Amino acid sequence: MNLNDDTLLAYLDGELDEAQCAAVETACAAQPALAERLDRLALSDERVRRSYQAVLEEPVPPHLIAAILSAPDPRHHGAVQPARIGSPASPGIRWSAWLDTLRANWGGRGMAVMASVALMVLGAVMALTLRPGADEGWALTAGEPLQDRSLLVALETAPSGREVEAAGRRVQLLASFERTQGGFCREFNASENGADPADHLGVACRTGPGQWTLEVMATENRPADPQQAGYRTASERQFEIVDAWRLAHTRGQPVEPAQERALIERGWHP
Amino acid sequence: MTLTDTDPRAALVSLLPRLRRFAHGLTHDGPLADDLVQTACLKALERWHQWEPGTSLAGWMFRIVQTTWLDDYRANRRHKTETLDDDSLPELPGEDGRRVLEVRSEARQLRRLIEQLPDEQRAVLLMVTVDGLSYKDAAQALGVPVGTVMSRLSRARIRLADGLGERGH
Repeated sequence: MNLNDDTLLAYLDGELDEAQCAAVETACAAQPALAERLDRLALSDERVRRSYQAVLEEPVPPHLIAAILSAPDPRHHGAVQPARIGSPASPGIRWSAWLDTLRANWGGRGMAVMASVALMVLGAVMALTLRPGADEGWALTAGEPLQDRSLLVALETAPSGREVEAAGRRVQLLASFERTQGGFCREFNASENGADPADHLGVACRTGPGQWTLEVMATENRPADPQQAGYRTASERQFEIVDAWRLAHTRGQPVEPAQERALIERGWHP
Repeated sequence: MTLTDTDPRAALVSLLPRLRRFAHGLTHDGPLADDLVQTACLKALERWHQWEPGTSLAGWMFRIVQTTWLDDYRANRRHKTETLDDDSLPELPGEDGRRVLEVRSEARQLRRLIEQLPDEQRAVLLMVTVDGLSYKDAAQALGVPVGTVMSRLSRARIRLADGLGERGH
């Protein structure tokens, strides 16, 4: 067996069969110079990998994500319609499929990377939805699947207690609950914005990957109050309505933060 | 769930961290790398019908990034000076300042060696050694036999190992 650099590299790449591997190991044990060469090749590979690790782990710039998501969908031949994030009328990208792709690509290898990608996408979504008047996606009707993509991403990936922007509103995720019939639901509060004085307290339940249906919602109109600009919590009346639904349909206590984190990482699979 | 069910744009977004790393390896210039990735992704969406489902999407994308770099960018690129921004080099913990300088000088040396590799060797190095693509997927993406991938790869790695070794330890 000719033990040149090519053989040593094939050994490092796991490309040799058992007999060849054994031959390399025997030779390296007998010849310190060969063992040193093998070490040097391995170290050099490792340095190359390490020198690009930081780029892999840094967050993807939101503008890059936004540029790709707003390009025409190549599956719709001829139909030059960019995916309007935040509008239910657009042809739309399939969050569910996309989230699965993310998990398939990153699952097990580093959910942190996935989470940072998800957060970056959320950032891109926010950038696209924060335009003044971008409120057309906010048609919330109990019993119907939620359409607003930024809200869907928040429900799917944001921990409770987190406040996010969705469709030009501040949305706070309040808690997650296990549904009596199985599956999970999340309670959230969406504040009024400049275009709409209504404050919404709602519960959405997960019906599939990236899909959530609004089960109950208590809405209260807030008269404009310059003293109270910004976020206000839902009223007692709103909580009564939502609590009644929750008592009837979910298992009493909210999911613990650690369990919730694990659920988010596993795509809400218990 | 097959990739064909997925919105191509979503599939590309999930590849972005790896595409950025690949582009960074070609350009060694962060903003330029992002610009290159964006151009390559939009190009890929325009010719999406050319991608064969079942083959490595990452490999296909790496190839588009590489050809975009060679055809559209490098020719127009102003000649870059040798100075490298120290801040762009990975921060590694060192016991003292001297160790930090040593690590940085090693990183700079490594980058210079990678920049000096012939284009086709650098691409294979980034695809296989850095990204972890199989020889087969890299060969398919580049449209060359597996043996060619292997020989380009070993030449690149030997050159780097020897170059890094020159300084001694």
